Amino acid sequence: MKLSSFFILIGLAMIEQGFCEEKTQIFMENQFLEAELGLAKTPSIYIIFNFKDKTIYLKGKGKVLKAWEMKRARFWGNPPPVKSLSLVKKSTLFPPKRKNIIPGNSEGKDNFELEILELKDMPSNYTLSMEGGIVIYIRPKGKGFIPFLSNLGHTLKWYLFPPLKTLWLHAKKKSYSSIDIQLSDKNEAKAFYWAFLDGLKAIIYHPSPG
Amino acid sequence: MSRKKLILIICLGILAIFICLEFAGYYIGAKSSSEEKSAILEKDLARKNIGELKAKNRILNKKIQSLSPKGIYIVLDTGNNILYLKRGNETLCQAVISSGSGDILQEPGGQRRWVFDTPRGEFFVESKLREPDWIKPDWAFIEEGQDIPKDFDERVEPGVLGDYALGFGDGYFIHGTLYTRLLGRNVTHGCIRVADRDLEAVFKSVSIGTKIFIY
Repeated sequence: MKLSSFFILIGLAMIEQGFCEEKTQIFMENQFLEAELGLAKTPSIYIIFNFKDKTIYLKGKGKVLKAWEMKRARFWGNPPPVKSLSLVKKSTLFPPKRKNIIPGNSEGKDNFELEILELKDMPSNYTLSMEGGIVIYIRPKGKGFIPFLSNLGHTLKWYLFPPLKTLWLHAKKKSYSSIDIQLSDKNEAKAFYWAFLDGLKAIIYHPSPG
Repeated sequence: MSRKKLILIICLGILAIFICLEFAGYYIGAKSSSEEKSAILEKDLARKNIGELKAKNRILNKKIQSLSPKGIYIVLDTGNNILYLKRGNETLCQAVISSGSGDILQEPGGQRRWVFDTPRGEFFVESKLREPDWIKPDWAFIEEGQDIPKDFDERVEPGVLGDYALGFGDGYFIHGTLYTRLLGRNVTHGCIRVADRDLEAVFKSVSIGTKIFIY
């Protein structure tokens, strides 16, 4: 009799836990939809990092314009708030540089097409600094020895650097969140760099807070 | 104590401090993450009813969907230089385009500066023109090292914009081109160039007010 009561209690606790999780997910979805509606009303395009679908969406008026599949995603620190956040800065080791036109220089020449900024000139490894101190690392999934070494270095950095930064910012009473996203290949990462302009708004949606 | 031993002890000491800092960081990170998680749940969730939330989500989804373009719309991918003519999620046709070069032109001895990017965001077709003339702006003369003419007629250049043009504001057009070999490259001053044959199909399908999304 005692044993059966124990199992009933365990069962009830599990149901309660499941109910709570469902409620949390619906609540998070609610916050996400509220935030997206706010962005969809504006004439700007916007980005959604949807960790439920493992996809990054570029949207305009609620319509998906382009999507990038996330091969892997890792989180560190406080869960980012589910609200619209601006891209503050994109940083990379070798940022693409715009070319300056020299007036009168293109006349009679046919090589001007070489001095342009194209998708192939975009970086594939970069960091996106969002408002609220959220840092997103983007890198492509690579094959071969050099990408393997690069990924190994990045993984080491991922596990060593964030705890120290958390400690440092904790001392300054600031919070720290970082997200590491791996896209399927270099071209995808370059296309995302191209599409995600400075000042563009984004929502980071993760179905459970944490 | 030998010098080697001293160096080893110092190295081990540094390593120990580093490991302690790492653990402290991990501990604080994990603690603050779970504290924030429970704060969110306690603050807002306790008051909510699950059925109410589900109903609210359905309404929000409908509201977002209602903002999407109803009929035909144009999507321009300036990175891959492709134009998509779409209705809902269906692509009716696609064409190779040329878009902004991203180059910079500074007026010699002047204050003006132009960045030749194609604007991004949501726009709509503001004008539809057949056999359009190009009204050359100041930068076109400056780029060629020429004086800016005072007479308006000297700015008018027929034939270079192809057979059709769709204006989407601020002097930007989706227009035809003579330079078809440059389609697929980022070579323009911000306008979108499309081959005349492709543009004809787009031109005939869209009307004033058709939405244009550029990314």
